[in-house]
Amino acid sequence: MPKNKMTMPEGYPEVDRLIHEPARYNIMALLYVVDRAEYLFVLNQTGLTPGNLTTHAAKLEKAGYLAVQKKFVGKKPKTFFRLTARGRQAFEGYGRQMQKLLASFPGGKSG
Amino acid sequence: MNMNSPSLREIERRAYRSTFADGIYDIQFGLIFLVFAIMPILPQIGISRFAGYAFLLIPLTIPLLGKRFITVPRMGAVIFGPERQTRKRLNLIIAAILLVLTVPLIVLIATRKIPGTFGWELLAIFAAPVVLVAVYMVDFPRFFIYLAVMIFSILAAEFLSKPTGFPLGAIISFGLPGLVITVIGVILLVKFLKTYHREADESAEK
Repeated sequence: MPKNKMTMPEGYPEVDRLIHEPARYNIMALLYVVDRAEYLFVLNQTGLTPGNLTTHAAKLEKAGYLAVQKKFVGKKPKTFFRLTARGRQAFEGYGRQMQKLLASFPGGKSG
Repeated sequence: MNMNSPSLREIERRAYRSTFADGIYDIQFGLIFLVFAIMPILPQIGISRFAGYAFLLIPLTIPLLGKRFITVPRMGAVIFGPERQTRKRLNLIIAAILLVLTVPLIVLIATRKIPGTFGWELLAIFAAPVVLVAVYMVDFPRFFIYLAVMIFSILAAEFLSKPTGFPLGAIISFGLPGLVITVIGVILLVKFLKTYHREADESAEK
């Protein structure tokens, strides 16, 4: 079982714990709907603190979900984030896992 | 899960529309109105109409400079997904069509080869649908209101030209909405500057 999968009772779908954390979910969701975004844009949109964003982005990068590109614009260093193909697949997979999980709740709809 | 999932669509729309929170396009619209308002009085103060059209360069350059020096350093840069990029490319094509349509007409009106009022009506008939498509492509609801105000202003200028005389009618019908839209833009810009501070050195955060 991959390290970042949450162990669930038998019959329940496994949930990607790396994405399940709200701050990382917000980063992933934002980057899923754009092509790429600068560090500052992600910071403003997610409302995270710089330290939090850096830490969570590093975790996502380590898992291969996020690509970080650093470049100089003029004399200033700029960091750009984008989801990798693996990150996109993982996010879509997370969506399916959550749908299955929620469908098992009382009143939840299957499918 | 895909981009059509409602919550993701909302996240994308919110991120996209946040790029309009700086009020820069509002100021641009407002200044375009104001240029149209002062255009008729320019010949009376010794400035040729051709020079008057050059004033349009001011609002046209505002987004280029404003986004580069005000918005992006505070908000950060973003490249949206393929759908927005296609819309952006289409918008550039529409802007080129608009330019091709309007510049010759403006030259003909300025050189008085076409009578002023008829020329402006012709210009409005040609430009309005193209601008409407452009506004739809930009996908920002406030711009539909500005477009409606612009159409209303052209009609108002026509109706007011008889009771008030041509320059005053145009000044009122374009000047007042222009002033209101510019003020809205400035208020949004001030709010934006208060909300988004100039970026700190990123390297300090890493």
